[in-house]
Amino acid sequence: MNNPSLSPSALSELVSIVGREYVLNSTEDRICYAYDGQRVECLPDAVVRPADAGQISRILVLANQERFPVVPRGAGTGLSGGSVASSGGIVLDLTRMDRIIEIDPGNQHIVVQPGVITAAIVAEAEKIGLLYPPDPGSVKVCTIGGNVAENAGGLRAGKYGVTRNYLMQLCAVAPTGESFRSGARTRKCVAGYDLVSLMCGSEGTLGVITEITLRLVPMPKYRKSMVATFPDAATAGQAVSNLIAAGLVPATLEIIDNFTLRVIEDYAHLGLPVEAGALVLGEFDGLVELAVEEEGRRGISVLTESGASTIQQADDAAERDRIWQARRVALAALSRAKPTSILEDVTVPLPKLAEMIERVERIGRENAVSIGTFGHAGDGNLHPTILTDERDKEEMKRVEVAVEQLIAAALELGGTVSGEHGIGFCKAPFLAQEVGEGSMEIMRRIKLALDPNNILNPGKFV
Amino acid sequence: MMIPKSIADLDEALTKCMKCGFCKAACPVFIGEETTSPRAKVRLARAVVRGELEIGRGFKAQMERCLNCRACADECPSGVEPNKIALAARCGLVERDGLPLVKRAIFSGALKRPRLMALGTRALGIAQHVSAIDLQNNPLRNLLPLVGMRRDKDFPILGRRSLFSILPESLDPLGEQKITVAYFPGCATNLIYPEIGIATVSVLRKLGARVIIPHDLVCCSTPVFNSGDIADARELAARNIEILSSVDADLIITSCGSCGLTISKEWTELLGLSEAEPLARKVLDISEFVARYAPDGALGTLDDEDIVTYHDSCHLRRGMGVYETPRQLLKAILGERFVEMELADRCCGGGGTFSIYHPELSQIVADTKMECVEKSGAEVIATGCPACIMQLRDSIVHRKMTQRAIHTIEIIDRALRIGE
Repeated sequence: MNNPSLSPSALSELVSIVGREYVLNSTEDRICYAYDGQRVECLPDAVVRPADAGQISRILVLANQERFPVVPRGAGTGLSGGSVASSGGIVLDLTRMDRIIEIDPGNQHIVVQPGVITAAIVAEAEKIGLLYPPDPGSVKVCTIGGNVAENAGGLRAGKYGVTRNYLMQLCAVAPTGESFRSGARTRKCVAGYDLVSLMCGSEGTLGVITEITLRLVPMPKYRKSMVATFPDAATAGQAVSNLIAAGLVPATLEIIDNFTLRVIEDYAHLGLPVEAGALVLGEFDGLVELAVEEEGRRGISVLTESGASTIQQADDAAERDRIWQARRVALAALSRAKPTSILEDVTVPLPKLAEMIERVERIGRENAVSIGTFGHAGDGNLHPTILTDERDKEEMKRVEVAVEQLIAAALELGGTVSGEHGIGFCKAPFLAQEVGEGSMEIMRRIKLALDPNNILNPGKFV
Repeated sequence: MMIPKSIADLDEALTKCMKCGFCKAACPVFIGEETTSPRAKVRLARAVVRGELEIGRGFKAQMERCLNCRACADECPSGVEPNKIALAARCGLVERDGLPLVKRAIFSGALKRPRLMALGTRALGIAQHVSAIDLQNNPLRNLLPLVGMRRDKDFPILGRRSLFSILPESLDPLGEQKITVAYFPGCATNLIYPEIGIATVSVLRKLGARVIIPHDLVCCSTPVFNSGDIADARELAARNIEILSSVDADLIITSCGSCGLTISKEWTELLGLSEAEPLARKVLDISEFVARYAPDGALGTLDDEDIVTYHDSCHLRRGMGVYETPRQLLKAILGERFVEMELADRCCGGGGTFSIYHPELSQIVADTKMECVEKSGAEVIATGCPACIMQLRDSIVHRKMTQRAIHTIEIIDRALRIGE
């Protein structure tokens, strides 16, 4: 627990900036802003809920004068501790800034405030026949500001990319309080340093995002879904690698290992083939029916040649729904199996998928911990999920070892510690190992240049 | 999940919460501040259990801020039921601090005495009539804010004859007898909206049921345990169990989502009364009864009806799993004049005594519902729970809207052309 770094005068100044009802500092409020979607919690001194960029700017100027940390937060669904006030100070709750400012069908863009829930953007785009593709698992609750700050991914990343690929323009407030704008509402823009990309994935350490212009794409009209069973997970992983190597671009390509499959079946009774070593679920989509059908056909032949035991295609929406049901309930099933589930996010180059899957299985066996693996295999992103009980201290020690080994394995294979959840403080100890000291030093210099007093989200990866 | 003996027994459920926050998407009383979310309720309960937080006004306020609509439980991937954690906390608080005086008088006294309840309701009805409080321009309404009510509060008309005084304890079917059922009308139907009970009994008789309505039934106990008063809830439930167990009926019919849920699940699961199990298995919502027992072609169409939409009672849908049948019946009767509204399964904001204790928040929740009603273009809102009807009618008046809220069975009764 931290020492309060907020003086009474700073607190009353905050009240005068945002209004009494938008400064929360009861013990109850502080407890509820101490967490996000991962396990470690830290109590903030207070929570401040600004209404606009002007207030954010004044808050940051004050923070620099008074030297208290400011931690931006959206819905608090992050999985790396990015929005947790690990050095105390205030949590800056941005959910009051939740307006969709404009949507432009001609230029195919939407302008939103950071507190807009991602699903609301998807719904707004859908009304005019457009799609906002990034779809993190928490899409119904997470905010777009958090998505940008963490560069969130999702199920469609293999074909459509991640949040960064949809950013046209950002408005933000620098750590020292100055507002700035970067990028343009154009398809191309090389005007100066790409501050949009710098802000994206900066996890609230370099600025507070106050307005976001996102690019939208035409809604695909046709879909072809399929599910294949494999004798073992490594063969399934290799099949996924082969499919991508064959030049196919599925919108979604997911893997579910036998352990997860059994847990899902126990939970949801979907009649899944629990004897299968692994399932691969794929979907092709597009604007031209014939093209989608052809991609589907070629996908099936690659999966067959790669050793699939069975392949089933969806011919209608109901069948498609049935196929994806298993994937949709995967997390629910895993998290009900044991009191604590720890979701990892390792990502490897596509040709290394099979090997990574084998290593995950071995690490689970050797440390005697249960690991269920599912994930966005089509983009190399796996979510090995460790099932445990956080009250079992002895097992938790083995879990920690397993996590370290998982990450070491991913790095050895040329992968990354985090495909889409971010570094925060959870993965901070592993960052230097991945990017090297040279890169760490550049990051520190950037941070120091923009935030000389280390106000914004201190104590995280940089 | 049964109400645990103490809040410490909740540990397992509290540990299961992985704080993913998915519950926030569904919760109608979550309004941006994390502290108001279901996830926060779980976390705060955990803070109390683990000694990190003293029980104070802030904790109490958050635990009381729950409609028990169960939407969070539906969203939760881990099977945590934040609504029940809030409920368990309320029980702990009542055990510690006792009930507020008004609730104590009602729960420990009036609810257990059906005749007193009926008398009290009639007395209130007379007061209502004499004071003419129903008139929106009555100057007496200026006093309402003093007791925490909105000036334009819509009062149901009280003091008409109760259902129990209108209908005898046993009614024969209109045609050949096919089944014997016990009907549990619930307080709202018995005392405030007897027309729902009359329509329900009419439908039952048309479909060949002999109907038993024990006049000594008491409150099902929903508002009582929802307020954290488990002792009185158990007593009420036990009395009902004794009465219903002595009736030789094939089914227990309910026309209220909350009563139905409580008899079919909560008496056993929440209150731990295993003797309710045989009764629990017999409970059937009236719409399901119609779907199961109406012969082909019995359900006619209604041509005169306005455009109708359907509002899901939380307890009927998420509690009893009844949501397709009422829609199918309405579609069969109304054809294209039945329209779905958006967010039909979103809570109306009633939540039993919630609307009385949190009038402003209750209307904030109602805002979403009423916007959806307006957008649907419907003139009539059909629903399967009298408590929702009370809230919907109040919300309509508050917004000066013109829609009507009625029970689905009132439409079905008119469309069911048997024995006429």
